[in-house]
Amino acid sequence: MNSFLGTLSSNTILVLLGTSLLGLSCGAVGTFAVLRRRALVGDALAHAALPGICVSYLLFHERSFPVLFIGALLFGVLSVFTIALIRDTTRIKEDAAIAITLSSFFGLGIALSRIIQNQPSGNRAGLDDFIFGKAASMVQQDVIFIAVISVLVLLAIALLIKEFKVLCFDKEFAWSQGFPVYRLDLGLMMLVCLCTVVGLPAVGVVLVSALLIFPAVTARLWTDRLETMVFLAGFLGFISALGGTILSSELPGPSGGLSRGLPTGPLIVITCALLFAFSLLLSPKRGLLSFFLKKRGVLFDR
Amino acid sequence: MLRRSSMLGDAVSHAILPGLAVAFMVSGSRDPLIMLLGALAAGLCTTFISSLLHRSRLVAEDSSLGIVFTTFFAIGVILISWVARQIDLDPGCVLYGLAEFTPFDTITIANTELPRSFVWLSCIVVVNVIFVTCFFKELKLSTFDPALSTSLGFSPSILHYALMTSVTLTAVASFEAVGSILVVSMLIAPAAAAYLLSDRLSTILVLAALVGVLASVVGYLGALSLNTSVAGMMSVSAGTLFALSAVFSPKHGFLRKMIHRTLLRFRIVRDDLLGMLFRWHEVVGSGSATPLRNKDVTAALGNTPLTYLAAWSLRASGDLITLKDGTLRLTEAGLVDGAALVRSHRLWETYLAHHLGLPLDHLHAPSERTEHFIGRAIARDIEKEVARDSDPHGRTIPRN
Repeated sequence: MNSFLGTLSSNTILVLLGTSLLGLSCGAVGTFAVLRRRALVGDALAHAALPGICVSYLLFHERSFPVLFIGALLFGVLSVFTIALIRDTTRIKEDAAIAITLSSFFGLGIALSRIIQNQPSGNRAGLDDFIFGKAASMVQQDVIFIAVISVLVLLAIALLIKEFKVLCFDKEFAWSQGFPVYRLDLGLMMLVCLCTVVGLPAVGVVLVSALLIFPAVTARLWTDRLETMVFLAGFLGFISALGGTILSSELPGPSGGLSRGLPTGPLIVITCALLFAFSLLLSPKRGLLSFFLKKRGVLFDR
Repeated sequence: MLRRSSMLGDAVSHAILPGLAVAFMVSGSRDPLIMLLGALAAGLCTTFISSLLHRSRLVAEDSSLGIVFTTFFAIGVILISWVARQIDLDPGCVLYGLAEFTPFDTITIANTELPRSFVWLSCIVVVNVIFVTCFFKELKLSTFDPALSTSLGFSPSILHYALMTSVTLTAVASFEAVGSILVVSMLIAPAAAAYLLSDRLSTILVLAALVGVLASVVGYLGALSLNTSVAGMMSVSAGTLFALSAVFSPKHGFLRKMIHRTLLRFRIVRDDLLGMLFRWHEVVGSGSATPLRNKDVTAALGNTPLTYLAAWSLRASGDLITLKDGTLRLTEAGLVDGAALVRSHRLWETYLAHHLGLPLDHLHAPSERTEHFIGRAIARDIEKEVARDSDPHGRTIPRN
């Protein structure tokens, strides 16, 4: 523990870098997920990744991030396809399809992780970190990995922004103009999948979906233009991740013994929530304050 | 589920975490009643705030749910790590559920030792059953037609909150035993499976309850045999039951749709083969030196098992065609059937041309699709309507 304290500052910088990059790409991708009314798919994906992590651990007996990442990604993609299959071939609506897929996959993951635990060599400490997130345990390799994925995701968005735009706002028009709507939709989900899975170890299964949704919803309060919204959401994600990480390393822990007491993931989400609440109050167009002022006649509706 | 609020159970069961933590902080004990109240309050808060956000039209429904419950969960995790280091309140417990341990956590009622969560859950079951039976009509109406139910004087929003309270109550009571994910799978998967099996709301309700029980039993046995998490296996088995009903449901099942589609394709190929032979016969005449060869047929209709099956069935059922030396010929009976089909095709072309004014090159494709579904009676009606002997391409419409 002493050596850990010694390297605290450089480690904090690493974690900061990792989480803020994550916030950036999640925010940007989340914009489209929210606009496509697919906000909860991220949640499903994050849960569905758990069995993937368990399977790749069972197969390779390795706990390094890239190995687990591939398993998680595969199962994430599988869950996206499962949801699409249920939605398209049965009369079950999308939300129920998401719920069923999420709970079945996650149940499988829990069952598998218990099996791992029961093995004589079993130690699922590293696997648990995936569920609740432990940004503090990031190492340089992880940060590089996150950086690569973030760049890929942002690049994909930059290249396909026109396609995603029509997809989000007028699917039928996109279809009539000959855009491969179905493949674009899947591609978008793949991007969400990448962001979610890469964010798992930092913020955990439950909270990674907050990182997707919050920045987008907050940005939506400030702007009506998609391009601005993507930038703003990315920026907000970046800021919240930065703020949350700093808070978690600066705030004193309750028990005092350890250097950090409060988990990073939840603090990032709280930061997101504060930004959202702030915007909800003060946004010039849609904020509550301007709403009441307009009502009282203090401010005129333009 | 019919109300499209499937994810609410998930959200509520995550969001009760801060409720538990606050209840513990305030009371300082793990008294189940206080914990339950705290959780209930937090769950209702989630429902309320997210529907408030949604109704303000600032945020879409799924997003509002998504942001509220994650925030609650984050607060919960922080609170727990803040106050509850030393006590046995583990977020993992909330997520995974510890169904295995419930029998050891017992309560004594009327001199019988019963698992505590069993008592709680039975109360909840009774409450839910009463709620659903009392308000069945109202719930049904407000689910399918909120506008009508408002005009009749039921308040959908009060009912909505009542239903959400009952969902929350169920989620809160069961999380202790089975964990939040299982709550979701138990709320949704059985309902969805039942929805695929029936169209009547009352049947769906009963079926859903049955599927839920079945999933629990199967999951429990599975967990025992694999020595793994009961909650996990229960949700896996609920998902599997859903998948089974999606595939095998007699009405909406995947299998049924596939069989139906294959049968239809078979019928169409069979018809097309008959039509092809009839047109060939029309052009070259019977007994001519150039009969249709097998490979011409497979080239036109596709070299698939379905084509062979169609040819076989035409020969076997009623001797409509003969197969000799790699060539195909229509028999007398086959000529009649082929004539009927081509008659449907040409009648429809004529109808399209004269009554809808479609140009000549637009006639064949729709008729090719429609010909299979025009029966004898409809053909007679169309014939009366068009009153012509030949189709727009100048070919004779066969009579029967």
